[in-house]
Amino acid sequence: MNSLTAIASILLAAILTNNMVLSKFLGICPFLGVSKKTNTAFSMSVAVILVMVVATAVTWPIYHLVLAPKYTYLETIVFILVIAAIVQLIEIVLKRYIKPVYNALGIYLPLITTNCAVLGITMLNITNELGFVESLFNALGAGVGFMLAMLLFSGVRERLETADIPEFMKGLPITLVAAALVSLSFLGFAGIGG
Amino acid sequence: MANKYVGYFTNGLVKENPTLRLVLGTCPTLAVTTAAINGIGMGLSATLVLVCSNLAISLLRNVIPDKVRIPAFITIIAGFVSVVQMLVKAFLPSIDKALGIYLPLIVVNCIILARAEMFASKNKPLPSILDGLGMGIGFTAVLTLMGAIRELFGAGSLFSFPVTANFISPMIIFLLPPGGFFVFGMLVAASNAIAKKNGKKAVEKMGCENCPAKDSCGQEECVKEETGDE
Amino acid sequence: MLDFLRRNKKEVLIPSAVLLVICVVIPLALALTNRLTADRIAALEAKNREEAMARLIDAEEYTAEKYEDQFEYFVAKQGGEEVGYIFVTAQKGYGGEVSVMTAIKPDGAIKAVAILDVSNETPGLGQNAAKENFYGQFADKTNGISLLKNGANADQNEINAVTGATITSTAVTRAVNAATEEFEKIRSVENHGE
Repeated sequence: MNSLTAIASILLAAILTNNMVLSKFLGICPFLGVSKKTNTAFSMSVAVILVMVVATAVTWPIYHLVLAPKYTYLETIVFILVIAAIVQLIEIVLKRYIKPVYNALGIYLPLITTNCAVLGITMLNITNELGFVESLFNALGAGVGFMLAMLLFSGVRERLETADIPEFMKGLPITLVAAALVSLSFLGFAGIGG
Repeated sequence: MANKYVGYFTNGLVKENPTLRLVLGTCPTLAVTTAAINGIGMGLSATLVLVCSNLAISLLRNVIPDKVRIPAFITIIAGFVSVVQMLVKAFLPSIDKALGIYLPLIVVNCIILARAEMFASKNKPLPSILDGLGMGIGFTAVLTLMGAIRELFGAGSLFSFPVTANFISPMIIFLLPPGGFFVFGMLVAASNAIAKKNGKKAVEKMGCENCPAKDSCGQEECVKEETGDE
Repeated sequence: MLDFLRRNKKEVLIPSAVLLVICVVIPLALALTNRLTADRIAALEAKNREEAMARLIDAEEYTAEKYEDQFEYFVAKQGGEEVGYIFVTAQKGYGGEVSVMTAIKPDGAIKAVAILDVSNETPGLGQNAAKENFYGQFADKTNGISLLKNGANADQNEINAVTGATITSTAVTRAVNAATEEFEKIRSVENHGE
């Protein structure tokens, strides 16, 4: 029972209080770039969740069984290469065996290699000294948090399209200010899951 | 001739400033700029990586086969990032603590991969170094400016020296995530206004379109997404 | 197989070879940098720890001890006599681990507390826990310290939280309490030994 509450608290913290995008500023590129429409935002997020969990399942054992304690300085380079390989592999597997999923997510997969949220979560799992199962749930929570932020923000942006915006604020500036307001609302979650 | 080299350098400072004009490397721009000194630390670490990786990739541009260039670039960049990470840890431990995981995350900073892909892999070593230096300094300048603004309003100090802290209560919101988005939005608005005055276009593209991996990711989709027509 | 490779020399062999060379050369360069910097990093960490200990409690030497493979602590000795015990403990705060060093006098009262790492906490709020008007409150408290909010008057074994940073304050308090528990453990062993 105790471990269940621990996992629930990890999930809540990862989704709400330590939201990848809105409080840790990881994955800002897709957050700004792929959030114009709700359905693309959703597909991208599903791909991110998938890669985050698989990447954690692979990098955690690599770090703790192979790199630690002597070769921890290789963490950055090994992790990024492993993530790049995983993304390729997922792409090939999906293309070959689960065509409909590939059609929906395929184009977002290559973008994810250089998504700092994925590398970020695998590294945070190591720096926060989480166990294997905790890390998996942390990655899942971070991915879901990413999706939540993407979906909320795409809704806000669809509204922005029809809003009357001062000339100098059009485009990126107003998008960033809108992001500031969404992120402000997430500050209200501070304290949950602590 | 010399003029051309000056151009390579100054390109990244204003005209194609990576943060404000190309909108690359947004994550560290927002994340670490809670104090001016963090902006300098992040900026200079990224500059060092950028100059080294630009040089290495330019030297190897005829050796690396086109097919595997992206993994090769990423490996080279990750190597330099790890070196910088160890040096910062050994010589500037306070900066290392302040930057946390954002220091190793320079690996996925789009500025570096973008310059490798768009400039260094097509140009000679000297121009590549100058390009890296200009881009890096442009990045550092914006990060420091943003750090200074957030520190001044949010903590009432500049480079940790109290400025207004003693007579105006600081607005902590500037140090929190919403403050980061807001200040960056205002900086982009200002830079757009200045660009328009000089007859240039405001920044329209963001995120995906500037992504160096866009060529390999069904670019059409990206463009479609950006312009919004289907 | 060989025939296949020969035919695909340009397509397969050369790119693989180039990647292989890069993947060998770069980790070697990293290993070299690591050798050059590792000692310095370790020395720096040891020096920081010594300095933090010296600030907490004045002593001639600090010796590391182990308690039944559970935790490590330091004994501060002055003229051969034990003048205090130092514990390093960490608890989950708002954005990650908060680590604290606690010095406890032989009579069980806290000598002083130092905040080692609050870099994951919010600047301007949680990071204010590293200011003396917060951590200074722990001096002379004993164990089971509780936290007060809203600036009430603190009694024996109560301290006031940092304004707007209850989670960080709780983490620090828990870490200090964990240190006092560790102290109780080593003291009970010592008493049995006598």
